[in-house]
Amino acid sequence: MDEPLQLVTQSFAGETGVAESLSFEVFFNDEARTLFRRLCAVTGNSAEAEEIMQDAFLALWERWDRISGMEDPTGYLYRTAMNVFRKRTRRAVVAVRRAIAPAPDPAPFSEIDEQQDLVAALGGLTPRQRAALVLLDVLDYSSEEAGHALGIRAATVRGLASRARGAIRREMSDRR
Amino acid sequence: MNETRDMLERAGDRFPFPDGAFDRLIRRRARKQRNRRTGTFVLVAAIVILLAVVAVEALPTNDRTTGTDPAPSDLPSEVLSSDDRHSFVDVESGDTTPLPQRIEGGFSYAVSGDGTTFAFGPCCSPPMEVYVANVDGSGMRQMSPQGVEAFGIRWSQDVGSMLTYQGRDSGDLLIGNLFVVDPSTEETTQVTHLRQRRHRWWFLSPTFVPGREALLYHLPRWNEPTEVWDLWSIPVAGGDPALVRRNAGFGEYSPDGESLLYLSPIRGDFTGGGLWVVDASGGQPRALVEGGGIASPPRWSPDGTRIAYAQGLNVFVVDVATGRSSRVIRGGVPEWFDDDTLIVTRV
Repeated sequence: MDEPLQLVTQSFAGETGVAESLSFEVFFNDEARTLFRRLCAVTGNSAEAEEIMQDAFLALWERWDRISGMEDPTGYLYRTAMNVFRKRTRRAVVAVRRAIAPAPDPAPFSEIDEQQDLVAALGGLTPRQRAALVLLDVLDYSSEEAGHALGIRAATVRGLASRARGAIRREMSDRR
Repeated sequence: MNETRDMLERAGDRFPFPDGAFDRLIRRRARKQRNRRTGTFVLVAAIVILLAVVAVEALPTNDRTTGTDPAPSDLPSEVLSSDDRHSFVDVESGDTTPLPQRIEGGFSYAVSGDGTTFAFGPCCSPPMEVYVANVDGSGMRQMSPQGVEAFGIRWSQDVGSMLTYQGRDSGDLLIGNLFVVDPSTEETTQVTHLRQRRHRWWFLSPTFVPGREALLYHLPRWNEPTEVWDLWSIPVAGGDPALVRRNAGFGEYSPDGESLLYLSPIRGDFTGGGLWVVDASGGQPRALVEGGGIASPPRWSPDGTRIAYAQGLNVFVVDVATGRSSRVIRGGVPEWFDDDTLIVTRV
């Protein structure tokens, strides 16, 4: 059976929305692990991270015929995930205020028993501070974009990230 | 900042990705759909009862025993859409005309050989059923059974006007099988009996083989470490599949059955590296389009002189004889309505 010559293909990343809409599963397989890792960095808790990831993917799946045609469905996924995170945090705060939380959350990063410096540095931050850091420093969002994703002002994002970086620096220098 | 980034990445890496995450997502989605259907049913039932009570109360007393039936709706509301996502496009001028609103909510379209009937299916959110309708949108009928997700609808041009589609049970995300259905009798026949698996490369892209009462489809080589697809054919009446071409996908025979188009190589996102044409009897393939990023199945024009394809976010038409491509419009998933008109999904 004669094989066609191998062509030198050109990357069209981000321009193949129509084809990608053939399969939500492909998108999930491509994005889930990275999103999960970053949500773990935000929440410090794998169960919480998976809940947020599931909610975000479910939201996209239900509108997949539209979202798959977007230029940046991955960006939409992260914005959705951060929106879910924000709502869950707000609900948790309300629940605590009403004293109806069923059980206290485990300490962030308590699942990982290594890298004590890491646990100490990140575990001392609030989830909002970690979310600001992930958006700004890992995903390279502008503070405006990060503010939009978190539902807060850009200046607040910058403040959260600045305080978080300061806290990390102090923690790390104390340990040296 | 790099130190912070590194720290956050390292923290995320410490958490193992949960097994079965996609299975849980499927179950969650099914549960949500079920709850939504139940809620909708309860709401609709409440409205119907309320309207019935109001109507009965409004009737004159002597008419209450002779009420007339309401006009039945022949359209499932889920497939109605008011947006402007799909259009007829004149290949030469690029002028667009929206599809009739009643059939506008589909994703992929197929046109019967006589140009009078559409078959179409939505993608990729439920309900994923196949419908046929007259070109003006009237006479809509569902062709796939309830509870079956159907993809890749194609209409034969010479096999007694048959439809084929890839069907699988709703929500299981297995690859399913190929089916043919006679729209006049709605009799459905399962053609393939594929080994069922859940795989990211699930789309079979069936087409009819002109004059041979057979289907052409592609399958990945499941055991290969890289993404390699092959084209297969199988008689519509069933039987053993036959390998047609290695390292090829999204194949379709020309209307006269003399030539075969295909994409090769196929990438994991279902795009093709190049569009090739080869004599159906074999020989050296000819590259019609190079450059990669060919998204969605290319389609022969009814007269067999041109091929429509989507590359990136644009639709092109290539002249088979000269190899000259021309851009038609921004969009995807092109389908020929007639020799001068495409149906295009606008993006």
